[in-house]
Amino acid sequence: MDTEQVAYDYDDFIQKTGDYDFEDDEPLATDLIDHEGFDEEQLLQQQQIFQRQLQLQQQQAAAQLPDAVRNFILYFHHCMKENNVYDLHGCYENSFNRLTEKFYKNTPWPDPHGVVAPLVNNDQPFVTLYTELYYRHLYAKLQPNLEDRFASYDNYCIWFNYIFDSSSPPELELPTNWAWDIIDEFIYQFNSFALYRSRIVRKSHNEEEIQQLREHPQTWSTYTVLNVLYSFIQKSRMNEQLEAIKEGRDPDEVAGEDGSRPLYKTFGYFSILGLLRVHTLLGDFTLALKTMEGIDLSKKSKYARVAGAQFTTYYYVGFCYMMMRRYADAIKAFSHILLYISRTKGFHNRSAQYDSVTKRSEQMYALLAICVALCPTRLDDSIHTTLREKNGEQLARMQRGGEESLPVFEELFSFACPKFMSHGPPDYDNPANNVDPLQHHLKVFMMDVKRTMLTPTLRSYLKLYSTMNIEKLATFLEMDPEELRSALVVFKQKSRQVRWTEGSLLDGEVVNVSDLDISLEGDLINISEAKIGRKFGDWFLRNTTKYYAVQDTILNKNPEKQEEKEHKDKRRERREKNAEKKGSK
Amino acid sequence: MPSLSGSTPLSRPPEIETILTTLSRYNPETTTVLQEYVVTQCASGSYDLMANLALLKLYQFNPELMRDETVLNILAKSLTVFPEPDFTLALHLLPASLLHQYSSAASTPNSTIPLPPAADTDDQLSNSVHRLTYLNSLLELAAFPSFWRILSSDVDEEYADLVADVTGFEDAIRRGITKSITLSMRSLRVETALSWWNFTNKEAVEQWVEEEMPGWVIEGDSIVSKDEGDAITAATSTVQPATGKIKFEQFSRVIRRVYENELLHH
Repeated sequence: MDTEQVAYDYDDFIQKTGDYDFEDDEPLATDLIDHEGFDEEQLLQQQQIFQRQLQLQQQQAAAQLPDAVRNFILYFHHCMKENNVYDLHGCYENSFNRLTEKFYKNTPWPDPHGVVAPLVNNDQPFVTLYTELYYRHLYAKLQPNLEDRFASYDNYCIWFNYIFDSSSPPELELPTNWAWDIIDEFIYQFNSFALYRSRIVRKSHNEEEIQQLREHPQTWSTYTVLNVLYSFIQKSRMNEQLEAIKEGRDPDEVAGEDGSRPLYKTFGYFSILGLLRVHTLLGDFTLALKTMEGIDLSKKSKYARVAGAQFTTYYYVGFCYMMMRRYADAIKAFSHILLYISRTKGFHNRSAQYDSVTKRSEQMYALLAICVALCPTRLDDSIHTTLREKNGEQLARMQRGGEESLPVFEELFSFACPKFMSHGPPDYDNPANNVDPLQHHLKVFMMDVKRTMLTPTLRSYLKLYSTMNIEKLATFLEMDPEELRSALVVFKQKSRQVRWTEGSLLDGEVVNVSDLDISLEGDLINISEAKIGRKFGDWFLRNTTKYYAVQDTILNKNPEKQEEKEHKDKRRERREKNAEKKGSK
Repeated sequence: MPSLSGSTPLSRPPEIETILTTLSRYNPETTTVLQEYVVTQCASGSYDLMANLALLKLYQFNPELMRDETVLNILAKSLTVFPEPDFTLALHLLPASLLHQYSSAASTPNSTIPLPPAADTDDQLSNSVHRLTYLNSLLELAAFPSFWRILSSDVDEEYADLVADVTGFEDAIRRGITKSITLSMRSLRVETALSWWNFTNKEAVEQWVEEEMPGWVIEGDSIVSKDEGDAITAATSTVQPATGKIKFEQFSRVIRRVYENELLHH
């Protein structure tokens, strides 16, 4: 394979130049300086010598690279040049993580400009990509400082400029999950920067950093981020493509020249998901869902295979629904993805993103608990069991209603919500004026929650009767009857929600989501309850199979696969025996 | 049907539609167009959620362009479509400092209705936002008599000022209240209806019922629905059939297992 050839060359070169003695150079350099005046030619020579010295220093630094890492970088570069997507995927997914575990668990990868660039002959696109990985690793394992953040931002600018270069659009094709990770990381660093900035202003009084922030308002500004995302969408004409797919037409017809390139298509699609996230972070939930209107979540597109993208999408979609009081839809979104996660648990254990997936799923369970408390719904059994395990006590407290439930709502919301940020730079001069966006959104959310505090108590009473007089119920609840009337209206109101049936995410029709329905006639309350009879058919089937599995364990059978093999063998034997018998008869 | 957040209202002019569907929604210069649109909505009684939220977003991005009057009008307008969550959605897009000092006043004992917000802050806009938020709370809690009382309060005329720009505000609120009534009731005593709609005499109630509530009539001292459609009585308690259908495929695993069991034991 080519890499070995290249590696050999480098090794060879280093061996040869390793003997090069720097000391030999110095007298020459000092000679020049000692002279009174110096002419152009000598100056040029001096510069060349200096360049060579620098290069050799870099070679030495590169020589200190572990061989495995050096080979990896070269191979990586090679794959990129050859546009070998499959191997590139392997490099990215497996080798990079393995080497990180082995060599760079707590230290940064080799410096992109000092070490890696010379190795690949300063191939700018590769260096930029490598730098992206370098900073992603830095953010994940170490604490980036302000300088790192600025540098990472600059790198992203270079990368996006490279992609958007219309005169010579790159032929490069990245694996889909890498493309997703780039967009994801870009927005994550944007978010992280905003939080870092507000933390500096609030706590530390590092004047130097604040001064730098003041001087660079454009770095990591919302406009830049939005610009990037929208540009991708426009360049790839993603919305038109999605619409064409929905109508059953060929998307390439409307894609235009750029839109048909796989690179733009991938980035275009993921930018839509990116916008969903950015809008939610800024508190604009309706726009977030509206941006998604071209995407049909129920369809399995090739992008749906990028697990990270699926989790993020469903998390944000569910969250937006929750903030729009469409709890039924939120519950559906969370249940769907949590079911998916629990079913594919095996795959994620070895992925580098395992931690983030776990954290996300815990957040979604918390949000699910909130939604179920606000809108009691039957959940899928496995989800319900896990929910009770993780958030059982909190769920019970929220469902009891009343004053004691409020802190639980606040706690879960603060844990599970996205890291809200405010749009622009904070007030540097009056730090006290900067209010934490999380507190703001939490407050508005809690205003809604407080209005449903009475519901659980009402429900418990209403379930017991089929008709009831308002005066009587008011006495039970120790409330003024007129206020109770209002409370009943609210109860009825809350049981009606907009639920999605088809079309874009914002569409939906008003349905009754509660099993308890009431109607007031003067002072009389009529109550009707919709009981869902237990579906015992399904229950019996599931338990029968479980019973057989238990039976197996008791009888100490082999694991399934061997069992199957045994069966197959036995069947084959039997067939042969039968054939013999038939033959002989 | 209530206005769904994403749908396009018929009253939306084409240039607004263009703004909302393209990147001009981020152009600071469009604030003037959208502001005028808010004025139009207030005057004509139409309502456009997406346009109003887009304007609030522009204010978020360009705080120096924010106009107090417009913000308050947007909030007042979104009160008229209660119980839609539009008011809450608008609050999320406002600068965090506006609500920072709002405290949902503790209710008096034995009452679920909160008290008006406590002492005023220094910022006039904050105070106004607090007041509108309080009005929203009252509407959400269906505390309609309190709502009208606060709105027409002599002590604090600020409340009335805040909604003065919105023509037909009171009738719009009444329609919202009517929706709540038709949703949850089949009959209501006239004296309760008076306080809920803020009418002073029975004739006004009769007129309102006739104009706004088809299928409802006055019978004696109550207004009554004649529509038998959504009557809820004990008889309508449903119990979904317990069995339901079970597809044959669901038996496949059990059958397979039984078959394999047979093979193993023979």
